[in-house]
Amino acid sequence: MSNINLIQFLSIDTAEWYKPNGTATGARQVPQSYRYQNFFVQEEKTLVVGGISKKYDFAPFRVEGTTSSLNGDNGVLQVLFPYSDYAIQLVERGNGNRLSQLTLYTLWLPTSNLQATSFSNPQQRDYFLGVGASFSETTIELRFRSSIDSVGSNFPARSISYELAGYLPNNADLVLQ
Amino acid sequence: MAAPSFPNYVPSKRDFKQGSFPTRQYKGLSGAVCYVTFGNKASGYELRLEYAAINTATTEEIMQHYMNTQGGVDDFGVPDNIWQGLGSGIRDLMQKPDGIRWSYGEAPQVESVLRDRQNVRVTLIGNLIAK
Repeated sequence: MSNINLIQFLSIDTAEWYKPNGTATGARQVPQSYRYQNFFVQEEKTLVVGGISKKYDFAPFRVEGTTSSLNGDNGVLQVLFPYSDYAIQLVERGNGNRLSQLTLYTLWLPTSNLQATSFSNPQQRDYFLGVGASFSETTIELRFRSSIDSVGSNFPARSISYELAGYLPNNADLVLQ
Repeated sequence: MAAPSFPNYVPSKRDFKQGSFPTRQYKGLSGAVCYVTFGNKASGYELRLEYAAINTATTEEIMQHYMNTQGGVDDFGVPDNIWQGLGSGIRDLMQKPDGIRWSYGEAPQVESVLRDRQNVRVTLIGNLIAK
C-alpha cells in the first residue's frame, strides 16, 4: 500500500508603502514576507531552499487550480484562507492582493520523513503574481497568475523582453509597446 | 477562545469516537489503493455523554455552560470525572488528544422524566484549532 504526504509551503511577499517615523516624505515600497505551511498543525517548520533556511508557521490554507497548456496560457491559482486577521493582512498589505508575489513549494514525503523539523529540496517550486482577492463569510480567496508561462508562435521572434511587452505580463495576450 | 471546563459530573453513559486523519484515497481499476495525506494530526473526535435522571440544578449548569461557550464557538476542557473508569493511558488518548480542543457539536437535549429529574444528552466534538 502506498501513502504519500503532500506538504505545501508558501511565501507571500506583499508590498506596502512604508514611511519612516516622523517624516512626511521618503515613503518607499517595502516588501514584507508571510510564510506558512499547511501540513504540520500548530507547528513551525523550516524549509531550506538554495542554502537559505526560513521558518514557516502553520496556516490552514488550501491551494487549487494550476494549469498548464501548450498555448502559452498563464497558470491560474487560488489560495483559500479562513476569514482571519492574518489573511486580511495578506490582502490589505498587498493592495487587495494586486501587488503580491507568491512562491509555492510542494513536497511529497513518505511518512518516515515527517518527524524532521527542517525540510529541503522541494520537488516543485512555482512563482505567481497576485491578481486580486475575494471575500466570503468564512473564507478569503487570493487569486494569482503565473508571471509568464510561454510565448505564442505568432509573437515576433518568439522572445520577450521588458522593452517589447512592458511591465510584468501576467496574461498571454501580449501587446507590443 | 478557551471557556470554563465542562461541568464535572460523572455521566451515565459515554460514547467516544476517535478522530481521523485528513487522507484521500485513490483506487485504481486494478483495485490497488494509494493514499495522499494532507496533515499530521487526527481531528473530528466525538464524545457523546448521557446523564440519566439528573436533578434540575445540574441540568441548568450544563445548559448554562452551553450558553457561556456561545453554543460551540468557544472551546473548553473536559474534566476528569467525565472519564471515570478508564486507565490513565487510554484516558490521555481520549481526554487530551494531540492539539485537540473540545466544543459542542450540537445543543444539549433535555428530556423531562420525573418531577425535578431530566435525561440530558450532550455531543462534544474535538477539532484542531487553527490560529
